[in-house]
Amino acid sequence: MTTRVKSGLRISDQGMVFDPSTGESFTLNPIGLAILKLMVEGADEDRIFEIMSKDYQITEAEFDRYFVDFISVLKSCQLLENDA
Amino acid sequence: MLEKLTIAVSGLNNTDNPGPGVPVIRGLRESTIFAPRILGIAYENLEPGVYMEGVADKVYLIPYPSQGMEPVLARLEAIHQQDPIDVLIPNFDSELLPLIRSENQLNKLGIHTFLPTIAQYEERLKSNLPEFGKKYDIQVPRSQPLSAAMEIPKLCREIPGPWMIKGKFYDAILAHNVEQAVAAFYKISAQWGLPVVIQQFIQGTELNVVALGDGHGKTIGAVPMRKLYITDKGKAWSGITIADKYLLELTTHIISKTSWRGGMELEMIRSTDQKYYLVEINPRIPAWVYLAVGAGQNLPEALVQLALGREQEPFTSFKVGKMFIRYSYDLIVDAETHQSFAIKGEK
Repeated sequence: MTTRVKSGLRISDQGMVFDPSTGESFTLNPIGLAILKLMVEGADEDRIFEIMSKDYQITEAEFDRYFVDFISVLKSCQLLENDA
Repeated sequence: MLEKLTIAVSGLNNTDNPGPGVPVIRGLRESTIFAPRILGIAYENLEPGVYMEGVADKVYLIPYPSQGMEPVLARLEAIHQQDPIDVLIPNFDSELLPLIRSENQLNKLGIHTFLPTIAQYEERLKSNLPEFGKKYDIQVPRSQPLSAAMEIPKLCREIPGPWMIKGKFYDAILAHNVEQAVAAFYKISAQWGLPVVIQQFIQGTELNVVALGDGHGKTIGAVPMRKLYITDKGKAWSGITIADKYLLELTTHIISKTSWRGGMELEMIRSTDQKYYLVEINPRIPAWVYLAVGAGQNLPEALVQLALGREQEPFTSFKVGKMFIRYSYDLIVDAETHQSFAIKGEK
């Protein structure tokens, strides 16, 4: 499943995310930043797991749990497209 | 070579509740069309802009309009004879209406202004905001003008709390119960007179738009800003430009429907459920206008062009993500300088 990130977000390499439509800013840790960048590139959940599992020792079940949490945080921060 | 223009600007009170004079002047000084000679217009001899380096070339004290317009116009005429004024940009809410009414007299003297009409000014008064919202199909918080404290308990039952108690020109106090609302009513009415407005408090993000209308329905420029840091007086101490399509559409809608003439500020709240409420329209350029200049829209310069009856192309874009951060700074001034200004009325 592909979750669409709101278009126009400005994401810095240091992990700052600026939403130009609301003026809100957020900070991400390096893992969050890597995942968000993959999402912006259009990677789906399977692809993100594939990449993350190469860099981190993580099972699919663990990834699922953290990914769902991360998506709900993005949603509560209104960083996903409305229909996502 | 840039054209020389003499522009008189009031609102030099760069305090914690700042007037727009100094930022307007900063915008004018960055003009690529004219080289302004700035005459500062001050009502109080301790307005910081009087003493700031590089702000005004000359400063004149004038009497408050509350003392009647005759002394004000007489003073402006005397200044004009000494230092001919091309354009006057008033920046205080309390001086706007008397100066709008004096526009013809000022024009006869050769002093140009670019102010809203009396109808435009009155239509958007805080006490008329519910009708304004209804007329132009804009969501506004429930509000009601108050002329006596005894009306408050009944209104507090009708309008869901908490409430903002607002002065007709300035000031707003948040009240969580009837006692607080009554105390706020007396405090504000003592300072700003009646009516006082009671308004439903909307929890959310404070967003503002600075805009300029050409008087024929065209929006010359508009820049939305989200407040990042708010003082205890509710003033933005820091803000960031945002690309909020709805705010820009709303601004264009208001300017188009009202044929707004001059600078304006829309004060909006975006509630937690993403609804937008218009809480106030200020009929002048706001104190954070220099953010718009920094983001690519020199609205003070454009206002001068319009005041002189010249064509001004609308701005089509601005930089998103530009921030302003206000600061305070201690000026060191010789007592003689202050005394001389207070006595002579000019500096």
